[in-house]
Amino acid sequence: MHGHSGVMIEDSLEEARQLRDASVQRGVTAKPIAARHIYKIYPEAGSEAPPDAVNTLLGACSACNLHTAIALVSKMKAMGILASCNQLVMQPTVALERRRQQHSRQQIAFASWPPSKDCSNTRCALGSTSAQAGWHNLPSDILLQIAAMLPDADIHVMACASASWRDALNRDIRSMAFTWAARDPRNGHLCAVNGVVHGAACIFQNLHNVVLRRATHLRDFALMALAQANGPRLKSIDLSGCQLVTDRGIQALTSSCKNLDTVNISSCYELSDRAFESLGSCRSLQTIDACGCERLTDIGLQALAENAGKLRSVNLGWCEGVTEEGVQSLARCCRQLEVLDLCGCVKVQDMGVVAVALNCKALRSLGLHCCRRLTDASMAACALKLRNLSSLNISGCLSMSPAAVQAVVDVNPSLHTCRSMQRTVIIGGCLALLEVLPAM
Amino acid sequence: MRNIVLRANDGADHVISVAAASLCKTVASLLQDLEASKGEDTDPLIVPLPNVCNCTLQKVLGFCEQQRAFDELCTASPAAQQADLTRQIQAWQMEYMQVSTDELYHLVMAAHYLNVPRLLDLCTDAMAERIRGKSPAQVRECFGLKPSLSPEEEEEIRRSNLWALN
Repeated sequence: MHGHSGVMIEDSLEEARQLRDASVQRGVTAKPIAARHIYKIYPEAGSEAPPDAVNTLLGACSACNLHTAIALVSKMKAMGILASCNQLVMQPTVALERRRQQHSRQQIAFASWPPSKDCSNTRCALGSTSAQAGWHNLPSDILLQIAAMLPDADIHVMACASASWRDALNRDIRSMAFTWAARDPRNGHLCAVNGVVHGAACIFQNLHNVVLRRATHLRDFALMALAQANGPRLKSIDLSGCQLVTDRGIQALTSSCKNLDTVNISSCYELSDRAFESLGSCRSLQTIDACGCERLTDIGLQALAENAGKLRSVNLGWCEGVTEEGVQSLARCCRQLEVLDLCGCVKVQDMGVVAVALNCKALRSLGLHCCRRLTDASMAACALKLRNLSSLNISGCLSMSPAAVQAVVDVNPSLHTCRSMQRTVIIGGCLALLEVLPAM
Repeated sequence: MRNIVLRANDGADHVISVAAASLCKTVASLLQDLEASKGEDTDPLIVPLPNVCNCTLQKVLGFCEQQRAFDELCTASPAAQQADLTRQIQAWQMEYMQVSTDELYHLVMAAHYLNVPRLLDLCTDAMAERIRGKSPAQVRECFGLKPSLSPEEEEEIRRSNLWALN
């Protein structure tokens, strides 16, 4: 009687089922598409549509969203296809866990209403166990809402407590700090940070941002495991104060995580030129904080600068092995530099700062604290080329004259030396420079 | 104005006011659609909720009614009494959340299913409090989670992360 529309319904049903499966898999609701299917087939199917087909199609929609299904029922009722929505039982949002896919068919069944006595009995029998089984399969949005309220340590605990929680958290947690690992009473001792980080590699594999600040006992093997697990997804890592991390750890990090853009390795005293050479392989590196890497020399800095041309912010504070040669190659290769901190690089001479001033026009902040070998030549170059400076630290640069510094201040209106406002020209220790006036 | 009847999975009916129902976003949007399409229908709207049991539904509706009452109080009372009222609401919510872990599960699933954001917030807050500061074993005990790892996975984690299983 309705052979043609029957075929169409079968096709649409198959499509709807596929949509549902795909949506369950991806964790996305396909309700708008599924809903459109129902409207498409109904005018042709009319009121003679096979009830099974209607039910299955509605099931596909209700699997995505209760509201969609209820809305559809009311539309169908208006079209005269269903006598009353009381006939229908709709199942809730199907949990998005992959594990539950095999059971989803049972969950999306439609039943007649009211349920028979047997049915309600089984529900009661299930009642006691359903909560226990249910906690495992908590919808991931609820899990994330809980995780949002907890510190990272407790998120880690949640992931350890249940495999399905772990999978859900792994999919959505993007940022993790391990600063708690060393002092959490649940760990007991400082070296536990290695176990925690190594274990986290089995749990979190979609991290974009990792903070290991002051993990003083972190060793290379734990860092390696975490780097390998997260691979190119890792964008930013803070290793400041990880004193035991060596060149091998950084090499492992950079060979797995090619998309790093922010790296903080300040106070990693073990790192030498080889670590910086390998950091050069992260072509998108924009920010590096290497404050206190005493073993860095011009060779490492040059290798880094030649490869990581997108660097915008570089902190080389107290890298006492760096001289003007290294700074020159940095300035030549990384012309987008905006922030450069050379505080305490006592070997740097004028040629370095002159190269920076000539090449890096976008420079906003320049720190030269205690670079005692610098003279007025550096300031002259800055006054000649730089116009965007908003912060300049020349404290302890004893051989600069007031006139040279005044010239820099005059051409960079963002610099000011007023006492009332926050000074952005820092001249601590330079008594001769007290007479430098703000630009008018 | 239509009556709304929510029917729990054991067939028990609960008539609720439109104002309270508007806190359940699922019911509220259904209501909106129906008002727009068929305004003259005076039958009570029956919404069957097969996966919400009677006692949970009662508790959820209790929350909706109480919140609605608090909302009206909030708008009616002068600014000076607001702080006092907030304390009252918090006390009531604390009392309300004194539930067993099983009840909490049913409540959170119902809040998710019916889309009651405020109740969901309250439930997730309570769950977070039950997790905070515990070890994985304690969390498992609290929620009755069985370690669902395969033996190989467990061995893998045991080897790499002794901390996790203690």
